[in-house]
Amino acid sequence: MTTTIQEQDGNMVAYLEGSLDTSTVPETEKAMLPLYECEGKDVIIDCTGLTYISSAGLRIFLNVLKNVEEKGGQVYITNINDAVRNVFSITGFNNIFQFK
Amino acid sequence: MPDFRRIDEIGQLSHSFGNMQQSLVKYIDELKETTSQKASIERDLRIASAIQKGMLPEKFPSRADRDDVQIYASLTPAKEVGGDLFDFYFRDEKLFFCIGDVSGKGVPASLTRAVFRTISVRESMPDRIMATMNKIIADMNRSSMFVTLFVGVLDLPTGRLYYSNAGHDAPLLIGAGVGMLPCDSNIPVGFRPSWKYSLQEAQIFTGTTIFLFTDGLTEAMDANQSQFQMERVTDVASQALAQQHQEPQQLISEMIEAVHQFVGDAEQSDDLTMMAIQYIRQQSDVKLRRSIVLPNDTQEVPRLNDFVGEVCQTVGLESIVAMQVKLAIEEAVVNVMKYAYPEGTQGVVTIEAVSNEVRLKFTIKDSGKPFDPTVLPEVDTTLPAKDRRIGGLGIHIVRQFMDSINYERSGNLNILTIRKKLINDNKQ
Repeated sequence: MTTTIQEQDGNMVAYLEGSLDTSTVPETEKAMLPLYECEGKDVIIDCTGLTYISSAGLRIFLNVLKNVEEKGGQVYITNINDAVRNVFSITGFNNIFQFK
Repeated sequence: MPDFRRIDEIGQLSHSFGNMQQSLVKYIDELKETTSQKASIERDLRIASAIQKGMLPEKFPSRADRDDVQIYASLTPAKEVGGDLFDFYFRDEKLFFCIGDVSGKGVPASLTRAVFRTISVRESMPDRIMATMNKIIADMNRSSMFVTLFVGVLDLPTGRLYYSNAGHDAPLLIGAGVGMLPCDSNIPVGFRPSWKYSLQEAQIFTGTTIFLFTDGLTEAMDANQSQFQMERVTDVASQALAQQHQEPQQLISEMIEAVHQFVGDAEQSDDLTMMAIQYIRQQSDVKLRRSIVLPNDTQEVPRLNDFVGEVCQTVGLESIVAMQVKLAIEEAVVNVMKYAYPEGTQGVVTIEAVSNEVRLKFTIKDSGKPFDPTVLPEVDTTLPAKDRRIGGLGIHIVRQFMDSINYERSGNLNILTIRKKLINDNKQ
């Protein structure tokens, strides 16, 4: 699992690549911490390379959303594949995230 | 009726049944006192017994509805509002059922049944269900009523029957022959809140019918006050078996016919209740069996996912379904790793995958503390982000992506069974 964070066009973009199962959650959570300091910028989570997500992985997404919204930013998820999107749907997470 | 305001669901039940009980009792008392016309009393008592019957299940599953079990039951109330009850319902590939007889007419049988339902949503073992029912009914019990009760839980995939008996007549098993299910008698429910009810187990084979009844059957009386008795019940069952009539509806209709012939014109003295449950599941041949043993360390999850991935590939699941199965098993196993073994303790989790042509089954075993994930409350997936909590999501994912989940505690093992259908067979 690799996580890369970049600033692009005034937004913060996180690129997730690999399988976000329970074992890779701690390292990914740590790698995502800079997003909490978005200072009102919008955050885009690019899931092009994300092949799998567990409920522990969803918790990271939820924590990012709560922190970014508190600072006045928005969170967008982009390039999510059908299988991962499916997990967002059955847990109702598709209702609390914006997809691009 | 006691005051149950502190326990929400039971409180509501108690309240509504309290009202029903009071109005029913008042209704009957008024009728008895004020009416001199016998015909009128009889008409109104028919209405009262219709209320009692209306509280019982009416739709019985047959072979056309299910491929694992078929059920039929019959309750014929005596002239007064009676105390018999029966119930059954399905949860997580288990059949929960009970039959009972409430002594005296104080507490409605329907309330006892409602208590059974409420508790068996949360408890999966009959001795636990019985113990909780006993406490609740003892609490409500101002008069010295009691309930004889048999509670059974039939594990539908395996035919394993778990049961607990509280002073009720032992059911008959009608299969290879006719025999009594061995039952500890314990004591009836409702007057000794601390009684520890024993748990018993038996294997029910495909084709066998469990025949349950109340003493209204064995004690049905003819005009000379002699009773139908257990020997006759066994005889009728043996005759039915000899003619391959152990199918529930047919068995019960033959039993009713025999009682009618015996009783003749004599007035029915007690409620007459019977329930028959036939196990009809056919076991199919095993095509695949693999297992893996992991320590309770979430860093082992990739190994688990590789194992499940290979199993899914072998049975030919398409990749999106394979990912769902992988995720469901990860959630279930991580639950075990986190909750069955308290932090810092070491333990192992065994995951076995077995498939036949129609189903893929995962059995997850651990020797941690008793932990039943199937009774966790459902998560609300419609809440906004700030109110969302992550707990319970794992089990929700399992239920959404798989066809069934089933928990058993056997010895010192937690056994979780999760199944996925490989072909759509339009049944259920």
